[in-house]
Amino acid sequence: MFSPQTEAKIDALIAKYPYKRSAILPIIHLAQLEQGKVTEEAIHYIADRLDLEPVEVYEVVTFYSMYFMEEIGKYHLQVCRTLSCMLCGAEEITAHLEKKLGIKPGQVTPDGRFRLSEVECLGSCATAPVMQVNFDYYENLTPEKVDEILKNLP
Amino acid sequence: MAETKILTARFDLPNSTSIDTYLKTGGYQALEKALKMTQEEIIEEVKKSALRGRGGAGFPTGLKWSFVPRSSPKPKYLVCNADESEPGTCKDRYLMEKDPHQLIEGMIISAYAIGANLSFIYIRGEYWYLIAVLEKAIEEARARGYLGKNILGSKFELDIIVHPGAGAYICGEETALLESLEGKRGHPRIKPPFPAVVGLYGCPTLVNNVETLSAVPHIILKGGDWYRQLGTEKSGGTKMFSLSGHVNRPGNYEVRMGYPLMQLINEEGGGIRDGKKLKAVIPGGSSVPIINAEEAARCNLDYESCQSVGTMLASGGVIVMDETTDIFETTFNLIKFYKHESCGWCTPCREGTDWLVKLFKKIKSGSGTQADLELIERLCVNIEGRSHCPLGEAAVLPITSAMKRFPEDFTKRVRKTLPVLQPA
Amino acid sequence: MTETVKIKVDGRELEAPKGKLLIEVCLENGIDIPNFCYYPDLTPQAACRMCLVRIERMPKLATSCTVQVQDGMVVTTQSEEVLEARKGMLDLILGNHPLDCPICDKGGQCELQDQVFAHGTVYGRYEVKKNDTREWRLSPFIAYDPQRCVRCYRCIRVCDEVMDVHALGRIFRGAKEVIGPYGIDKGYSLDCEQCGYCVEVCPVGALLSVDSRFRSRPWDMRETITTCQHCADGCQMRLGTRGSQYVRVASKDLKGINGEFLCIKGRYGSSYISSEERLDNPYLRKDGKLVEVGWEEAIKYVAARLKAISAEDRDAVAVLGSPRLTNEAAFALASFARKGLKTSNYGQIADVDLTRFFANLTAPLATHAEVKKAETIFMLGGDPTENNPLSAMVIRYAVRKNGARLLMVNSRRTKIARRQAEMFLHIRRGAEPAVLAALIDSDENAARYAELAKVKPEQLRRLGKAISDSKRLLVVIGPEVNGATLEVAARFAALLKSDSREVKYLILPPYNNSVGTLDMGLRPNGHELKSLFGTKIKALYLAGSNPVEQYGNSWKEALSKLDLLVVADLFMTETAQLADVVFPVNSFAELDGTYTNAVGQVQRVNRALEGTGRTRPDWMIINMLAKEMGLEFGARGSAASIFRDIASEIPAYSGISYDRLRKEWAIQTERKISTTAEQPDALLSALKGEIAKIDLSLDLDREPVRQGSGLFRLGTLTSRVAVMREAFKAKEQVEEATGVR
Ligand SMILES: Cc1cc2nc3c(=O)[nH]c(=O)nc-3n(C[C@H](O)[C@H](O)[C@H](O)COP(=O)(O)O)c2cc1C
Ligand code: SF4
Ligand code: FES
Repeated sequence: MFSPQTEAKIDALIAKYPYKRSAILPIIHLAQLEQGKVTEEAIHYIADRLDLEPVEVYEVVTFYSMYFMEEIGKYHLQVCRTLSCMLCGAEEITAHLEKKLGIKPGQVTPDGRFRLSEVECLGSCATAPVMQVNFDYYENLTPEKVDEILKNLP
Repeated sequence: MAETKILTARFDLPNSTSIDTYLKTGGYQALEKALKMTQEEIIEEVKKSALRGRGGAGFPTGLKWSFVPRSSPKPKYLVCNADESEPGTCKDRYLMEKDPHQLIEGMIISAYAIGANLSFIYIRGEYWYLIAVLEKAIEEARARGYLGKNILGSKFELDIIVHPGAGAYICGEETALLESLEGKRGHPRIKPPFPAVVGLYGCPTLVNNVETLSAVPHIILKGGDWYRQLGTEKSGGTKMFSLSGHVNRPGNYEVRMGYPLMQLINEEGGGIRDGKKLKAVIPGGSSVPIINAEEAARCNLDYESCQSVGTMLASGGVIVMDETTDIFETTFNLIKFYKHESCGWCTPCREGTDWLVKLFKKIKSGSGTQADLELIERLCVNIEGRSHCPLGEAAVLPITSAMKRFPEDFTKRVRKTLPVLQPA
Repeated sequence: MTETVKIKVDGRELEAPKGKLLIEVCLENGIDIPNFCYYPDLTPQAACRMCLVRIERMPKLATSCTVQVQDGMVVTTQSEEVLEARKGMLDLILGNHPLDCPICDKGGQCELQDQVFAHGTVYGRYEVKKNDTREWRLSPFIAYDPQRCVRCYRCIRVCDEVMDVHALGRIFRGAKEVIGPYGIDKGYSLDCEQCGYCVEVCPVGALLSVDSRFRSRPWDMRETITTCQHCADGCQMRLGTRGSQYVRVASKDLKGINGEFLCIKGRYGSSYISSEERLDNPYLRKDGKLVEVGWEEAIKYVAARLKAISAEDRDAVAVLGSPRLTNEAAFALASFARKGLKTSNYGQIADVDLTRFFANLTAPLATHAEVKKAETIFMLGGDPTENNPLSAMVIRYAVRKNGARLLMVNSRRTKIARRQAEMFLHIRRGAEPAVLAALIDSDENAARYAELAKVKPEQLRRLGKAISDSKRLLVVIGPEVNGATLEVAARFAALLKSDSREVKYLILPPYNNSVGTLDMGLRPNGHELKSLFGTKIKALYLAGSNPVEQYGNSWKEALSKLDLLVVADLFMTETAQLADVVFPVNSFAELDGTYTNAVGQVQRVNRALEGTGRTRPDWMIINMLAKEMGLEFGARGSAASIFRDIASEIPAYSGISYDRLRKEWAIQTERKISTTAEQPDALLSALKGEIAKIDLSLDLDREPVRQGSGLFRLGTLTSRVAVMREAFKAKEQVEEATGVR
């Protein structure tokens, strides 16, 4: 189902917890990282590994906002929209990205390179406005800085 | 007065995350001391320190520890709450990023005090990069005999598992966190029983915030009395405040409990941006009532003083708003947050936040009326005190306080209406 | 003994067992507390917040569905504050509720309507657009309208806790949350037993039965309490009819043996009574073809033929019934054969012969209520989940609520073995006698029995230890236990009973009236008699059986050898098509009568529909025939009077009457219990022959029993239930085509 490295990590996770169901969140993260989204096959696989019904995995996947069952794109641009960031200009950042990429939050660029999202507080309020690109934080943003960041993405 | 760097003392050292830096600066001495103390002595010391939970609720830490049953046929667990999702709060992140060993040492001492042999750091999924930082530190600690079996020859055993969340503010609530850690949706549990008695996997479990646990080594090393005198009578020690919003130097600052709010804003924060005047402050993270400039001037950063001006210290996320701020907009921003984060379990929070967002939208679009504002107030009454967990409450406090303190920001947006006819 | 505490509610002193939920104490004392998410026996939720009350010394209003009563607790349920909180909560629930009550099947039987009526405000405050959501078809049987849903999670909990199916979940978060199966947003179907329990417990019209949607308003329907005609558990149900038509089956608030439980067959398997295919006239074979005729002609014809054949040899006429008949029909049939026709060839077609079980019984049969209280359950064979769903439910209840130890021995990996059993001995098919012998014999022979059963000797020892450790033991015997093994199983309890140990039995026969028809004198000798067809036996009167469909060609051939075949049935079945005469009979919905379930309880079948007037109850057809033939067998003119004869002739039924059944619903017949001491050696030697039959070449059957293998099987009746036929034919086709089960 997954690459040998991921499978090994999953095995290790399952072994780590007193009850294997506890490993579900990190395993879903790994599955999503490898496949670019949480696939149905992954859900069945995880259910199997953890002795759960598929709906029990599905309940979890649909609860947490970091999991996606649709394509995320290569770079997931997650702009924080909550208060501290809003006070420091998050709206401007989102508007800039919308214009630049031609997509609205929740959409993926046609080439699949970027997905734009507005997310809730990223815990980076003192360096607002912020955006997370995949797992990396970019802080104290300005439109110019955003351009720079996008340009430097491989 | 200025910053009092206890928890943040190592932040600026080069290589602050490495165990060598930590050891050179007094690290793990508290643990050595603690392992020679009895569990009761440790808990007593923490009680003396007047340390109160830094996660938001401010519950006296020593008292909470004493609720964990001394002997239990089941294993006991320690869980570090590193979910840090309260808007305005970003302190735990730096405590982990800059000084992971301080947290680890605090966890080992706390686990020893309650008799836990397995512990978890439940870290919000967005802080993915910190997993590696923490795991490296844990490996270092294990290599030096601070973790694992027979810690420093004491026969005490402990392991730490770093566990990522996946995007859910509610998982900061301790029982939702435990559900999540058990591999389920993050719905809060019915209390009682409290986690100290029935927690993770049905076993006694101590849940403490990162900052709370990070303070523990200092308390053990220098004594509870020493820690307490840093702050006020009832709020001991120092605390980290995340200063954000319209200030010149936003950032995390560690000050003594009881430090004046305006001093934090003006001295540490360098004053209001662009020379503007202060309009409002949320002093403890998004879930506490907003206060105006006059109240802010009377407010010190301790639990009691915050209460005296009608707000709360909570997690210490200080959000500053200047005179140009539209409080309707900031309130709308927060209610959207709470709607998004409502776990959906209970009627008042799930339905209430949904309706509040709709009403705010209606008002924002220009078609709101006075009756809508009254409806908002009524909705808040319906939610407050009636939800299953404090999130529902947290969602309405920003609204009720904003409407009370900044009524004009709301009334100017709506049309006056004739009273709606209602049956007697 | 739990301690009793005193509490005060609205000034009233109440006594209650300590720790009981406050809401339960209030409701039992007539203090109304509105609620949605509270549900008896399910885990508390505190989700709907309808049950808030004021408790002294608590900072906030408290949910009475989670608070356990403590001595001295002072509670207010009627203050301004509490009433306001209820109103407010209803306001919030109604905020997104569609208020489409006029077209909602639940209208008039809806808890939300009732609560708004009792506790709500008159004025709806929210004038903002409601969230749009569409209705989902969760399965061919169940539909879900999320907008009506109040998120009480009763459905999820019955599915998880009571059914152990785990098919429903909470999908998405917050205001977007819906209840549904895996992949609801992709249109995936519920992968479950389709028991419809979730529909039953839904307080509003969010979960609905597809087969009865838009068929009738609740108040426009007549509901008759009757007994399910599908399996031997004998659930009580409410049969809803409108005019001459079937509408639905429900179980809500029924105080019968099953509470609110019904399985797929009970809930959805009765619509065949209004099937277009029902026979409505007798048929007579003319020129090789079956043609409709009047009753008089058909009766005259059969009477004349039977008379002629019987005149030559009484035993040339055979009478066979089925385990589906009512007691009254079976009794009439048996009496007609024995006293009227005076033939010795009568009985029924059935696979399980419980004669030896009842003849050797050494402990009483447990009722379902008693099963719930069992402390150790030893199951030898059987798959109740698929074939006796109520029994499975009460066994699970015992495990879930009382921590009963479930010890299972089975040749198949049944679901209950996989999920509920503390101990599961997976044995070779047919090795049940070896296990039984191991439990009786001394330890020296354990290894040999273990080898026969293909288990480890240690497992047999642990099983034996668990059984000997038990205090209240229930022995469950599956239908694969037959012949001498069944007899020994019935005598086995004698070895276990003691002053400190109570033992009871539960058997799992396949049909609704397997036990009753046997009691009435219809021995399961159908297969034996079949070999005499065309030689000794020339004519057969066959009531309620379709052996051609069930057993195929061998029966078809045998039946064709007869000079006269008379079939009485609901449909033109595969068997009826071979008959010379076919009589149309009344269905259970058009009858009065009784069934005796697996635990020996007699329950009423109540007439819910008039029928067309051209069909007859089985017993009445017998009467007509006897009269025409001039035979005297003690015919009676009503079901009630037949039952009086049953009560006076059959000892186990003495003292039972329709009158008592009206009041007591289910009355357990008293079986003769043998009290003679049993010797292990005698039991072991009785098992010898059976043990010798074990086929040692068989490997373990590792294939897990597939969900629905029994529940979804289409038989003569269920294949005439439109929703089942469509659902399972399609499913079978997909499975056959893809090879994926
Ligand atoms: C909605 C909600 C969110 C919370 N989020 C956090 C959080 O992100 N981090 C945290 O430490 N505590 C959070 N808490 C508080 C925890 O429930 C709990 O009180 C705390 O972890 C206890 O640790 P402490 O005593 O050290 O503060 C939250 C509480 C609520 C009701
Ligand atoms: S108040 Fe209710 S819906 Fe809101 S987060 Fe808490 S339990 Fe969930
Ligand atoms: S019945 Fe108590 S909260 Fe629903």
